[in-house]
Amino acid sequence: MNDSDRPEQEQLPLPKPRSPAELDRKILAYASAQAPRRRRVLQPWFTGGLATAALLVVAVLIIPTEQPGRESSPAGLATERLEADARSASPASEPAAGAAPTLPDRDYRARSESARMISADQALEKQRPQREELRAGAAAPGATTDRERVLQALPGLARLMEQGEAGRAQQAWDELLSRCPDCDLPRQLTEALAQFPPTPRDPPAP
Amino acid sequence: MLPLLDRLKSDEALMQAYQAGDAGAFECLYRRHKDSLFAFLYQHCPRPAIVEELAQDTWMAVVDRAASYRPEAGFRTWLFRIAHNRQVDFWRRRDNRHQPLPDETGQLSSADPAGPTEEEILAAVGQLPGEQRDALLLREQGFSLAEIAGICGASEEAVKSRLRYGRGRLREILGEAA
Repeated sequence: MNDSDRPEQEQLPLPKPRSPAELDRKILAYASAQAPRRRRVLQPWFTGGLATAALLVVAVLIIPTEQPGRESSPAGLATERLEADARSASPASEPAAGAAPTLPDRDYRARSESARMISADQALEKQRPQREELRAGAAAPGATTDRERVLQALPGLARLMEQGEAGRAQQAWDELLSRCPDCDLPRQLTEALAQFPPTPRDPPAP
Repeated sequence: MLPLLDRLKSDEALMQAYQAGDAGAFECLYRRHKDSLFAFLYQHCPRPAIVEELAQDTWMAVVDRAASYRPEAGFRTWLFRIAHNRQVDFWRRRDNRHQPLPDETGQLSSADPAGPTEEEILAAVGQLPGEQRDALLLREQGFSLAEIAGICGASEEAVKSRLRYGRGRLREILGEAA
C-alpha cells in the first residue's frame, strides 16, 4: 500500500482484543477435522526402486529373446532348424504344445547355445565362396558402387572414342546407362556420344 | 510450535497447502490473522459473545470454502470480505441496529483532558453509519482503498468519500463528547 493511497495516516487508539484460547481451539479442531484428505504422493526412493525393478524385468525379458543372428540370417534359421530337429529327436523331453519348456532353464539355454554354434559354423562354410568373391571385388580399387564403376569406366570409353571405335563405344555407353541410369555423366561425353548413330538393336519378335 | 518453514510462507501458499490437506498450514494462517480479525469484529460491535460468534462463523466459512479459494485473491482481503458479509448477514437477521452499549464501551460523556480514551472512540465509531464505520475500521486494519472497495463491494471513490465523512463525523462526536 502506498502512502498516497492513505492521505490521513492517523491511527485511532481503538481497543485490540485478542481472540480467546477457547475459540482458537474450537476453530483449529474444526479446521483439522475438515482438512481435505492429503493426497498421497509416491516418495522418490519408491519411484526410483520401481523404475529400477521395471528396467530389470524388461532387460530379463529382452536378453533371452534377442540372440544375435537368430532372425532372418541363415545362421539363425539353421539354429532354429537344428533346435527343432533336436526337439523332435527326443520326444520324451518335448513339452506339450503351447506349454513352456519343461527343461530347466539353464539346460535349455546351454543346448540352444551349442546348437547355435554348430549351425553358425555350417552357415559359415556355405557362405565361404561368396565371401571370397566379395573380398576379391572389394580388393578391386574403387569397386564399391555402380556409380564408382561407371566413373572408372569413363576413361576407357573416351579411349574407344578417340580410337574411332564407335560401335564398341556405343555398346559401352549403353551398358553404362543400364548400370547406372541415374548417374550424371560428363556433358561433353554425352554430347559426343549423341553424334554416333544408334546401335542396331535386335528386331522385335514377330 | 509451528514449523519455521510454514511461518515463512505467504498466506496464499499456506492456504494452498491447506487445500492439499496440510492442517498445520491452516493453523499457521489462523494464528497469523486471528487477532486482527477479532479486533476488527470487536471494534464493530464490542460485545464479546457476538464477536466470538462472528469470528467462529467467519473462520468456519474459510474452512468450508477452502477448496474454492484461488491464490489470485489475497487471502487477507478474502478473509475480511467473508467477515464483512457475516456481519451484514448477522445484523440483517437480527434486524437490530448496531448501537454502542454504555456498559461495555464506556460513557461518552466522560471527558478526558488528555484526549478520548479507547472506549470513547469505540463508542463514537459505533455511532457512525455502517458504511462509514466499515471503511474506517478496515482502514485501521491497514487495507488499501482498492482492498476496502473489494471487501465492501463499492468503488474506490465511494470508499474515499466514506472515509472522509466518517472521520469528520467521528471528530464531531468526540468534540461533542468533550
